[in-house]
Amino acid sequence: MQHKDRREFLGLGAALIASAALSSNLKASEHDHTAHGGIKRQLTFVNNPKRVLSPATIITPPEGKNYNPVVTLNGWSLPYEMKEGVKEFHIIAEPVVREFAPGMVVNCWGYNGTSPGPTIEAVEGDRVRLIVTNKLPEHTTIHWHGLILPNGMDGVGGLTQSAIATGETYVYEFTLRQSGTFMYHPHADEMVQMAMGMMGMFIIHPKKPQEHRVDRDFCFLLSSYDVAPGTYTPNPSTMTEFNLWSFNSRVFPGIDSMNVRVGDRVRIRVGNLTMTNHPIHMHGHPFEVTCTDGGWVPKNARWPEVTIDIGVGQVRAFEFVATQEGDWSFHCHKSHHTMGPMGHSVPNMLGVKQDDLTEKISDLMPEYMYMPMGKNGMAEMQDMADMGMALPENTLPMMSGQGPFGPIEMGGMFTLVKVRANQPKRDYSDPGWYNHPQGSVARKL
Amino acid sequence: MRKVVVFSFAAAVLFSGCSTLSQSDVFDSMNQMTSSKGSGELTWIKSAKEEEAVRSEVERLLKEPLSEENAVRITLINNRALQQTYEQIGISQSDLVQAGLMSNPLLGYSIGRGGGIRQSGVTLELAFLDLLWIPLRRELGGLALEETKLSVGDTVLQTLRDAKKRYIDARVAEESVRLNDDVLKSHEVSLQLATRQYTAGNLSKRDVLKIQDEYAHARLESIRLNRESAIAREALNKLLGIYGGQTYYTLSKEPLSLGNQPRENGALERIALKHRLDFASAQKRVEYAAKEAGYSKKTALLDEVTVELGSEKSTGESRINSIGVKIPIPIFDMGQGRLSRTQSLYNQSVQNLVSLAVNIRSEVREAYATARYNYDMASEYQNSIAINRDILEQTQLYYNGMLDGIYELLGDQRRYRDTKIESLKAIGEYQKAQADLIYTLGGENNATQR
Ligand SMILES: [Cu+2]
Repeated sequence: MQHKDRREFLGLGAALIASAALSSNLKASEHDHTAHGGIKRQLTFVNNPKRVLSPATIITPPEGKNYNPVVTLNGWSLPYEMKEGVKEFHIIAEPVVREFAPGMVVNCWGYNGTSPGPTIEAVEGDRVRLIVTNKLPEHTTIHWHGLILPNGMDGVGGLTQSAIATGETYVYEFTLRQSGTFMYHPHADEMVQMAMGMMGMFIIHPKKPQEHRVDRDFCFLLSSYDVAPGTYTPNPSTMTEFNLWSFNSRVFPGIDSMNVRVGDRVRIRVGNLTMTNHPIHMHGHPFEVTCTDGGWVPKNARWPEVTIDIGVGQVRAFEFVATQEGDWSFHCHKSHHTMGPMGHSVPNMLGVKQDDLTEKISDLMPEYMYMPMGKNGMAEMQDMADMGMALPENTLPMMSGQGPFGPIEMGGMFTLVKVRANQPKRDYSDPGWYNHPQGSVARKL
Repeated sequence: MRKVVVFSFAAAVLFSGCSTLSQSDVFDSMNQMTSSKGSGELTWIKSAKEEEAVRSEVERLLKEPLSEENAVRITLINNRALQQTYEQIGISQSDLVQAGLMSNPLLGYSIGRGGGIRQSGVTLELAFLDLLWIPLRRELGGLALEETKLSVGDTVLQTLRDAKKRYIDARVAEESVRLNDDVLKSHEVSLQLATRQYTAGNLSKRDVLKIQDEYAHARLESIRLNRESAIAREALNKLLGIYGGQTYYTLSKEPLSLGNQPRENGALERIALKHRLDFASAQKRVEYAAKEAGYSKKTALLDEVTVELGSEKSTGESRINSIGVKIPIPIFDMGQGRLSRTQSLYNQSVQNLVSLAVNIRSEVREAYATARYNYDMASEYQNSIAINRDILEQTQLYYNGMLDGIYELLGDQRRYRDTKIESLKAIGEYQKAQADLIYTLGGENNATQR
């Protein structure tokens, strides 16, 4: 299993080029000599990104790796080399294509072939050297969000350094003086670069491995995008009307579930680089917030929660002991954030009878299977999705995802925590749907 | 004496009677000429029998949905304005007959009495030189008839062109009404939905009223199109020459198609001058004027030469036969008035011909350019239709995903229909331009000729 994952990881660089030609009717004008042969979209797809689980344990050298690596949802940790006692990481800022869920890809900007970029993992006290090459079409910098470091390493373009121009490579080097959960992101043309998906997590493990030890350690970033239906590139000037709300730039059902074993102490680290707060809610277990980007919360200051609001630019890590077997929902509690793209100005048809007009409307569009919608709510959207109703190119249904009992009617910031008694230690693979003990499922009277 | 008189009469009858074309010969020859230019068989209604034949043919053709071909056919046999011009042929032909007749001889008889003497005399005066001028006059008459035939032929082709154009107008107008019915229906559905949304508490009164207003405007547009259709149909009816129950015909629903692009042709001006009947008619007029001027010159002085035969008898004396000639003395009228008049007429006809040529050359260039650009516009609309169909298809996808609402879907459906109406009008404009071009080039098939 692990070997297979590794092969797939190594295959990540081998992107395949696909060109999606638009409808043949969209002919380039005769007079436009640059556009002969029609308009084509050049897209680079990552091979089967859903299967890329964190291979950190395999690829980082054993030297200096005295920690329990984190698992990045649908991501991986950046490998490093030891150079005279310094952990050297190579980071390339570049345009990438991210598959948000099967059937939808987005032209992002990211790091090392992915958005968000790979997770940087190191240990408190390490000296790290981060060699950053800019392959973006514009200048950038990297800011190490939450880290204590020399001012000149803070990565604020214009303030603490010159911006890294296209094609240039800069070196950041400092000693890690804290442990906890942090992030990295650009501090140059931030609005565009973050809207395009430039961000990553920076995890610093405690010097003493037994401190803050957990059995499962998951991390991901909250990010949001405005990719208009039928398009591929996020609109970087959008401030509120996002239509893709994602965990690590993946949307349900295209997100890894967090698979744990009964009795595991589980930590989930969440960073928020969207432009709004997200009340992250977990079913089945109360948890305690144990860490913020300011550091570890003293044990006597922790309090129980089932929802933690993660503000803009904040990190929260929370922990619980998995005691309850089952498939537990884990999601943002803003209901729009568990939806895929939708029209915010569609007319309100709740309670409006339309089916008697169906024939009349169908007459006007004889080649089209018309279906009235919205009279009794929007759940029929899921039916439409199940029926495979065609949508605009590169557009996900507003809600989809099938559970063992039917449609889950969720999208966006939604995933599952799967707790199993028989999940082997260190095994992060998906155990499938929960097999409920007899008499433990709600039943129809 | 008797012999002379008999001879003169015989000669006059001989010259004027024979080899004159009949009216129907001339009409047949015109029929042949215009037929080859696309008109088909013409009918000249001259009797109740012909009238009845035309009437039943028109009835028969109006029973089936009216095609362009049949509209043209009905117009050419039934349009009374056109029939009226056929009579020009009759008039010219009669002029020609007249020109072939010698002036009637003047017979004079005198009787006198006095001093026991009784005298009687018989004179016969004959404008003798008429005998010489008759062939010339007949040549002129022939030219005039030829000119008339060409000119009437031109009217036939004009009428043919107009029938085509009015037919296209009527078709486009009627089809626009039909296409607009869908637009209207779509507005209706919008209003129905909006009213229900309002009733359910999901839409404000203001927003319903706005949608209601859009529907009202759609109805106005529908009325306007119906009015246009009625007007276009009447314009066609006039040309078809029909009235009453005959006007309840239906128009063919065969889709109006764009057809072929007008062929690039560098020789259009030459073709037009070669084939245009109005130009040929003007050429005949010049020929006529030239002949007439020459004739006037020859006859300036001698036109009124008269031969006079006389026979006189006085009582008791033997009869005296005499022969005399009357020649006008050119003191006052030396024919200069008539001469300069015909000279001016000739000059006028030449200038008219040149001016007509200039106009025809311009017309043909203009007609070609109009047809050419109308074709481009109409084919551009074909693209526009395809694009709008794709837009509608895309909006359907947005509707499926609840990314757009039903009003967008209906709106884009209307947009698609509107483009179809515009495209239809553009096709009509092109076909009318094509009819103009064909006429300008002097009839069918010349547009593609080299
Ligand atoms: Cu949220």
